[in-house]
Amino acid sequence: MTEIAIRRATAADYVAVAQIYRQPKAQSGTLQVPYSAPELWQNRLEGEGVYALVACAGDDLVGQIGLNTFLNVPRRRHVGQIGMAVRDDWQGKGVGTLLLGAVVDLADNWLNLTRLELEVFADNAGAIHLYEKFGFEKEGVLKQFAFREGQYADVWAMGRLRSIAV
Amino acid sequence: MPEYSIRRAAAEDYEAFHRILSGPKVIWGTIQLPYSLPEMWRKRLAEPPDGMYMLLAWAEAEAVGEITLQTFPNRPRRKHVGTIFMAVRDDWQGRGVGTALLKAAVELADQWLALTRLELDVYTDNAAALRLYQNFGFEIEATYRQFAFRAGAFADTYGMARFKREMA
Repeated sequence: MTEIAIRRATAADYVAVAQIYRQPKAQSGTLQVPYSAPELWQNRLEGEGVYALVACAGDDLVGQIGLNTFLNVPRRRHVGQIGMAVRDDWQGKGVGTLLLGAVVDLADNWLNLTRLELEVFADNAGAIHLYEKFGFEKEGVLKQFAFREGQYADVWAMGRLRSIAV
Repeated sequence: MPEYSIRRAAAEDYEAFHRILSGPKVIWGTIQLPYSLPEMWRKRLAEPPDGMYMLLAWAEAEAVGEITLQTFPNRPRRKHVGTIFMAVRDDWQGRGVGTALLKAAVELADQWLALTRLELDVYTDNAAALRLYQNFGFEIEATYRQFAFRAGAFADTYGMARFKREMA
């Protein structure tokens, strides 16, 4: 298996990141739309309170994860929100595990976040399995959360709590 | 029940907004902080983000509550959705202000903006707010554990949603 390295994304990665989210599976599993401009990703990779990481196989960007924190919402400073995608041709090869592992380590051990949250389409079994492996639990179904391939689709809201050792 | 007039909030209403959102009960029920600056609201009202509708309820010359309906013009796959935030001034709670505000926001969403899913978060122990939302057809979808910090401890919220009835 090719060695995969995780590193911080920079604004210069925006074209490759847009490419990941333009793949049919990654697009349908997230909130992206076809034909979106790659520039959309420029701000998202280097925004304030945003920790964006990418997975690299050699020179190839094969996955991306973003951890958004709430710098401007003091009462939610313990929370991080996660969005991620693995390039279609790299799914099922452990890229998601590496990306999520890196973000969970960042959140738990360095940012002192105690609640991580995300949404996942209710029929995305592979992703749900990944999140459950890291201790995310289902908190409820949000019905008709987003439009996907011609119809409204439900998502699971998932959350992961960490208790702080005092 | 007194009559309230519901109007779009303008930049010059920022002090009224600030007053509503500074009451201890309102701070408890939202994610506001004590000692916020009025200036923050002036900016928000003068330059609202795309798709944000901010309304005030007036009892004669007094602004007694606010509601914000946020839509997602930059998220095409969620453009059927509106998120609601609201607050009734501490000294006007329990007098129908919330009902008047939510009625206005729901009508805007149903009759004019073509939204089909309205959503909001409410602390699980905020019984009065829960009752109000249930009166308008909101149902609990999720329990978010430790959603926000409140009065010294993490507090849970419910995610609630309401769907527009099918058109005949």
